Amino acid sequence: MIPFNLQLILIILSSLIFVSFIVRIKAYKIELKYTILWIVMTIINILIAIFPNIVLFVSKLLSIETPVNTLFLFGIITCLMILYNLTSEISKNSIKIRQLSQEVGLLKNELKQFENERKME
Amino acid sequence: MKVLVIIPAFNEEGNIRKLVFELNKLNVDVIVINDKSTDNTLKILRELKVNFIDLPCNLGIGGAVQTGYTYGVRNGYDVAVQVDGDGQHDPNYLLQIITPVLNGEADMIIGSRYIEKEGFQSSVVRRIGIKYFSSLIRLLTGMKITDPTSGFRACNLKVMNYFANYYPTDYPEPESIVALLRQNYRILEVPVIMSERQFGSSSINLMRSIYYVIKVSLAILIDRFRKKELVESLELLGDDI
Repeated sequence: MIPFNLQLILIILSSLIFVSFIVRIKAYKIELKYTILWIVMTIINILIAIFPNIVLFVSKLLSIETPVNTLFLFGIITCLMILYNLTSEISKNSIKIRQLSQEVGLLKNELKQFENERKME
Repeated sequence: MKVLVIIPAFNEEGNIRKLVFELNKLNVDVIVINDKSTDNTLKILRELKVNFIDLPCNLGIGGAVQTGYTYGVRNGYDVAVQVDGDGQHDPNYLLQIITPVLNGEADMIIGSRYIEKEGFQSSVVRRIGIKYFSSLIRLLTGMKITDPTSGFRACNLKVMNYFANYYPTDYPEPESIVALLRQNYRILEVPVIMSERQFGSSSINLMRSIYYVIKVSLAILIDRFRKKELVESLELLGDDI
């Protein structure tokens, strides 16, 4: 059985994260696209906190002695998944920034050529 | 045949003037890519009335050179030559490097310091690193490239087009060689003499050298698992923007 205190902390923490994300999305400060993983994970967390039997079942399945460890394992996996997601988004963004910078440089060059031609006329 | 000389320049206020001057004597088209230099490089480029591209963000050598290749493809050039902005590459070797590409003997030519072993040979540590990359490339592709880190290179339109769509961001030279070999492009080396950088400092220190070796090794290894088709998907990615 997980201790009641831990259960309470889990519920409060997960709800806080969940609510703060929803608030930020409502204010158009965070894009929903990047928060879906967070939202799904916090909902699963809340479910686990309310029904700790899930953890007990998984612990038995993986032969983990203390159910708390299953909880930690779950937390770490969640973090890793979110980090993976962020790394891939950063990579995509840096490719886009590179392409945009190159395009801006090329356009500036074209504009200058244009101006030079006009001056000649 | 239209030939374009691409010069990536990051903080090269001491070297760029002389290089542009020498290239002007050779009567070739030059495009300098100013990679957001923090010194007077931009001012000097304006004074010289040389054709240049001023990038809004620092993209690193790979991103800067790639801009030059894109420029070459869009403006109908047949051959592009990359010459570093630090004065290490002697413009007098331009003809030697371009000729095999013009004759269709190869798709890319690399100017190598280590064929005739003359001139500036770089420090011992770097030579070990270069030797290591050379052996790694030979092991994985069977091709002997004596100077895989050389940035003194010429290529034809096919390779230019490939580089415009796909070019590594940092420390791109060895990785791009492996990528070209994977697609059966022909690479040849010609002997050149390089000199030591004249002004300013190289961007590579100890921490960066370690990163360099690890990053490039991984990049080369991973490239072996790529398929040829990857090029097409990358081209599509480029069209999105």
